[in-house]
Amino acid sequence: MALLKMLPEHIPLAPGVDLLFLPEPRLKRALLQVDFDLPLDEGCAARTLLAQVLEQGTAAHPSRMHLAQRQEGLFGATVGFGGLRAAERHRMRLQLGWVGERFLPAGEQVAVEVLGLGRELLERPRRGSGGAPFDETVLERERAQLARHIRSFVDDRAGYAEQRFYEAMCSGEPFARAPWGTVEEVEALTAADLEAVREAILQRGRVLILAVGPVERGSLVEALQAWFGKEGGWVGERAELPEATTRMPEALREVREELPIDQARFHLGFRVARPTNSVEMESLLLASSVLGGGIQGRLFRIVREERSLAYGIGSDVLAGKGLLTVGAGIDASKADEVCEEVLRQVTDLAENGPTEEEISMCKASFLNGLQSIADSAGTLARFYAREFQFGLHRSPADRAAVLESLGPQDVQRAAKSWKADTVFLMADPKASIAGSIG
Amino acid sequence: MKIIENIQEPRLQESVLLAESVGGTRIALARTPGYSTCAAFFGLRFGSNHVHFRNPEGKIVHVPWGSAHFLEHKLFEGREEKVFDRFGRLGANFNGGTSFARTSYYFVTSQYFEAATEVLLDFVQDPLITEERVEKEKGIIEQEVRMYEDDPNYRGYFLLLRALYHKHAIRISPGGPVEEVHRTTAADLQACYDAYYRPHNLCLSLAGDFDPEQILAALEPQLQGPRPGTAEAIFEDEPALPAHERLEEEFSVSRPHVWLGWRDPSGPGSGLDQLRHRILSSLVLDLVFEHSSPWYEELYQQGAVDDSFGSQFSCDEDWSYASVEMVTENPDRFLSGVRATVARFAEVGPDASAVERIRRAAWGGAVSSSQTPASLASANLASLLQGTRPFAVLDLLDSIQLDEVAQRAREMFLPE
Repeated sequence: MALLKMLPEHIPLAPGVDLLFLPEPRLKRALLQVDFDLPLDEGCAARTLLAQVLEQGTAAHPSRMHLAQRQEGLFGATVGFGGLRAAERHRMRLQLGWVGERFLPAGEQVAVEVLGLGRELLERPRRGSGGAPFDETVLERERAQLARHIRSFVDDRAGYAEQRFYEAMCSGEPFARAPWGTVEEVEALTAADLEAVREAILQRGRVLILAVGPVERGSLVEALQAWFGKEGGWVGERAELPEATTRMPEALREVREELPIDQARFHLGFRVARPTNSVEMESLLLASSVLGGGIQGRLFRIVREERSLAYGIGSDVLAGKGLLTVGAGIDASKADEVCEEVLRQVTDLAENGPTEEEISMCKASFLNGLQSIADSAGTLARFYAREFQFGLHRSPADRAAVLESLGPQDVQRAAKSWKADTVFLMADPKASIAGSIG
Repeated sequence: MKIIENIQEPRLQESVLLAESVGGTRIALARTPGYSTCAAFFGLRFGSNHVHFRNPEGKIVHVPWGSAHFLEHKLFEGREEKVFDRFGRLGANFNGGTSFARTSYYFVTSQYFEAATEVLLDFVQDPLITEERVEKEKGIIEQEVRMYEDDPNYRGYFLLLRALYHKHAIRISPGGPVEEVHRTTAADLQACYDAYYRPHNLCLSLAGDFDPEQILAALEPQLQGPRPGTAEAIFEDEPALPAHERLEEEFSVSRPHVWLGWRDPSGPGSGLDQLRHRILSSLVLDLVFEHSSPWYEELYQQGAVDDSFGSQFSCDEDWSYASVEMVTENPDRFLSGVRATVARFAEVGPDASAVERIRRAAWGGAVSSSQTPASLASANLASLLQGTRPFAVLDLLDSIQLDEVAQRAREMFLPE
């Protein structure tokens, strides 16, 4: 099966508002993803709470029940918000999905209605009485719920440990901030605050829209122009977002935190140079894959298979922030052994480079992934959004060509630039910890 | 290779060819023109519940809890070369999974499909299980079990199952307790393999843009010939009523995690009976607990539930229960609110328009579950293992009547 060479059609709708359109009638479901990017700052809590409040109803659908009933009536269409951290941006995502027309009863069409419902959520929220921007009862309930949710985050051991690791490693940098905010920030929010961030998102957020799957171009572009174009009323100054901060470590810091848990959580973070071109990007990703990108990675093969020190261990690249992280669930008494092994493998990769077999297996895995992208609207959207956000604008075939051109020296060069920054261990207070971590 | 049936499903624009190998392995082939990936799922009805059985030779066998899961791990070791390396060279994504009653192995790939299929069939049908290999794996499985044990949702779920059932094997998680993992031997795993991994117990489901006839011809020599004999699982008799009204366990969490379950006295059996039971039960849960439900909306407005709420239904031949869960400082308020709501719902009965709306949404779900070759292959394997025709769910969904839903709601929530 040939690699996808197609690039999505880029349609600028307004300054700072871009649509990437990739019609794919073969797919059964359509996806429309609207990303609003703002700085990862103290506004995160308000945006997270806003998303929850907006999902509680609109002027036309006054409760969450009414919204859900409408989605069921549209053959299980989905309309909802999500929030995530993308380097040092806070990304608020409106995601819409619906079944393609050829799988609906004759004469049924849902795309325009689903799009309208998404817009309605953001533009025509359910207002409170006496001109209040939001219903106070709804706001109070959702504010309390979000605060409870943040307090309970500690129960998600893996997620909590990862966030604490980011806070330790990137202390003082925007990246350390949890994208959902803090309990104190949430509890201080008012209806006026939410209305201000709602307008800020629509007016000042950098907007990237991905439309993928069985989508009809004419009606989609018309609807989006009516929303974000001149007649939509949201044309404004959408400022360029600042680059993520970078810092190179002077020495490896060791941080240990205690939590009553059975399995210790281990993280090791490296600072890496942020890729500035296609070759640097692929070299970094390939090097991370050789280290710990899955079953072909050294960490899986050595730490798990040879030494039985962990069930799951792997590395991950956050290219936009310039981080490479290793994470694992381990026995606390083996923390030193795991740390030493990871550092030994990174050093070996930098000094000796990968073997031909390692390169070959990692490339095979990447190529399989690149060929698989075409089979789902979600993977297509993720791929092209990332390409756009990094300014690379490549097709899967373009990426594969760069990948194929890379050799052991490129991986070695990438690994040489990695600087170990922080080793983090979260373990039970009663656990016996070997050696020096913490 | 015997062709059984070529099923056409015009509503989903899909077709599935059913066949059976000489050895009795059942096969489903779905052609997905224009798609880049191909997927293969290979599985059998043998899971973590099967720790006590009469093997085909008539001998009674007891193995430690977690043996099916341990065996799954060991199959990935391969006979001569690790399966990780073989799939790794092909670039395929692969994994396996063990549940209470099933084990499955799969890969998804966009290249070298035939070679990857050969790897899959080879490692599942020809393992090498030695004491040394079993010993080496114990540390890895212990870490996996401990990872789950640290998850309050996982712990609470099994606490609920221990409250619902007196002796049933589903009280024990598929990984088994750590001490059971450590007492597992190569002989235990070999006994499981010999008893259950027989050609007529295995099901293979493939989906991709391939020529089905060509694939079938290539499969036959790779599938084992007849090896008659059937293992018989031995389960303890399970009383019809729940074991405990309430169970509590101390665990370090920020707020209490609470589960509430309703069990049926017995399981629904197999095949279409099970599928119909599953659909009806899920429909009842959706009617009460989906965001679209006025019953749920009332609980939400009252503050009795919040977004940490979830509901699920689970059944197999010999078990059946529904459950809800929530994280709350006020478990009693949650429990009394939900209990009162389901009792009222069962008495009043479902609203016809709500059933139609959920049926409409379920159609969207059916389309989604056949979106990719991997999801199609997975769904077809589930049908084979369940003993139903692929896509049977669509006709069943259409055929369900309002009074059946009402009757099922009463069974679930107003037991005599």
